[in-house]
Amino acid sequence: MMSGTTAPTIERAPAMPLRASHRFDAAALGTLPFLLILGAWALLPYVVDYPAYMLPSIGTVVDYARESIRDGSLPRDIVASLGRLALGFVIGMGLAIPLGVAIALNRYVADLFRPVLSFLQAIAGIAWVPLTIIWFGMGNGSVIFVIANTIFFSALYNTVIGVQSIPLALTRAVRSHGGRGFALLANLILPGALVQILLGIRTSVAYGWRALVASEMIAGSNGLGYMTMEAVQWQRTEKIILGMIVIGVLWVLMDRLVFTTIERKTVARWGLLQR
Amino acid sequence: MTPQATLSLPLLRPRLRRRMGVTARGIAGVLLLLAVWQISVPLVGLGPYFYPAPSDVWLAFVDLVRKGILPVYLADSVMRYLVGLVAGAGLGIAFGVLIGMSRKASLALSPLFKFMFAIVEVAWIPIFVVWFGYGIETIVLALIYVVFFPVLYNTLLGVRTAPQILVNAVRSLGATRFQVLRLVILPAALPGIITGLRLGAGFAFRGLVFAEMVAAKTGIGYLIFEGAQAQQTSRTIVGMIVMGLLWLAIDQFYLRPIERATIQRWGLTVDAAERG
Amino acid sequence: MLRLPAAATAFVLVALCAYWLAGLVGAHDKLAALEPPPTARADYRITLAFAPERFHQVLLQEKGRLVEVRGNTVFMKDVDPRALRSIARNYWVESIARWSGK
Repeated sequence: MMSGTTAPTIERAPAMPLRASHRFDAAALGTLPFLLILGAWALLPYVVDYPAYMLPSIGTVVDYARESIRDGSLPRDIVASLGRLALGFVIGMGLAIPLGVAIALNRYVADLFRPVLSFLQAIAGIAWVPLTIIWFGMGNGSVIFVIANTIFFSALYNTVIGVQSIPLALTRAVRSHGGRGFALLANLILPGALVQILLGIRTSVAYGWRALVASEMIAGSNGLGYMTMEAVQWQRTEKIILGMIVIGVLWVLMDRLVFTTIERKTVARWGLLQR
Repeated sequence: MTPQATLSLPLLRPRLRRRMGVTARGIAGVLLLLAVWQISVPLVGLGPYFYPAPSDVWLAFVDLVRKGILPVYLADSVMRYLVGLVAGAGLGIAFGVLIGMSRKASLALSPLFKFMFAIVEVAWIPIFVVWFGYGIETIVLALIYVVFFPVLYNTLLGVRTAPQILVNAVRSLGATRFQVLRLVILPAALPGIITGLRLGAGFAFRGLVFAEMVAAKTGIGYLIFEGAQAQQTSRTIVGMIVMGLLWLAIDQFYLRPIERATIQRWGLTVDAAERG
Repeated sequence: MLRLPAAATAFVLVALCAYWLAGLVGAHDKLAALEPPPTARADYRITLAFAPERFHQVLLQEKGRLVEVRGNTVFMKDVDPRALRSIARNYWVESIARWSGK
């Protein structure tokens, strides 16, 4: 949702919390489309004639899922992908936040770098894949570099914006009370920029996740993206579909567990976000 | 920008000067980066295959334009982007409004849409290739997909924030369904639509470059890929720079002004960038 | 506030028109060298300002039968007049001459 919304003057009455039975109805209603799609998928071969490789039956996908879990290839791919995401995230954020704060501390330096940074953020990630193949070859190095690159530039830009958006009056107030150096950093700059940084984490990881899947498809040697793309060559479409579902589920989990929790615990609690 | 009832001339000058100063510093930053890059080339000493210099990249750019390659690639990319964006946004807004008007439908379909969007657009490329082969259909379809869902979802949210009081008021004055739509629902949904468009445009741009790398024979994404493959790394970097400039152009000339014109004019949000 | 998008769009459209017109003028000049003007499919020798890359070969292959590439020149057979005009519109084509067909 948008932060800092000033709503128009007409407000609707606050929504009444759903009774337990209403909640259940909503959840049941929500699963209905999924069931419909599954049903359509199961019935389609009987209605339309098409080659099996285009859309394998649900059974084939389930069988493949079971098989790949049993022989460990799916868990391995999942762990490999998530591991790279985590590593790229740590590297990217770890470099971006200190550098971003350093750049943004001086207004003139920040002005100097803002256009460059917004430009680099625009091309961050997938566009670097061919270059990384030249530099690091296929495999882990390239993929991690692309993820770290994506998250780095995105977080860097957000950090600079975050620091720059601290109201000048506040900075002056703290300074006039003798705040300097480390105290200034800890008590004003980091908390002030934190909102933007945290909000930026969500988009950074969203782009990073896409960069992960995309670079694994082109330059990877294992992982979810690689598995999904490689299956095209062998026309193992059930592998593609499984890969897609796993990618979707993982992102939903990440979104639900990680980001909403972060937002709830920090930003929303400090009343900086209106939901 | 803080609204002021009267702008007195002495007050205007420092602000204008500051804006010019910021722009000048920005340009200086770009030049500084180019200078550092150029100087680092002999220091890194790896040759133009691994680490081309700005001069190499410039020569490659001139070469690509001279040979008519870059204009065609650029035009193809922009064409695909526009088609995907317009189609995806149109469908997204249409369905978003339709679904948003019904509470039951919104509740039923939201989880599905959330999940569909969670399957990131890059993950759909392989199956699109299986279904439609390599080529423009796959690319445009992937773009439509990646624009459709954020626009749909945010339009949905926007439509649902339309105050029921207003809807009832307008209805009680005898408004037709279409008028209710035009007078109450669409204006209320507009911030959501714009947010969705902004998201969709961004994801679509990256998706475009990736799709072109995998499934196209022309376009900026293809240029980036082909340059590396043909060991003409300078061309790859030309592609990357053109991509960045293209996005900046789209953002500055279209996305931000439209956002400013619709949302800010109606005082519905404060753009964080404006405060900085 | 919608001035900026409108202006940008106008600029792009004007630039495209200018490019198209320049192409037409250039094509006219290049084709003028072919007296009398072609009326049926024929064979041509198309000279570029540089050695053609795969991009150009693929593009030209859609307009006719590409037989040979020698240096900066592309030899094509069975090019009909409309296709020839579209080839001539490209600014990277230097000149077009009739070809005996080897």
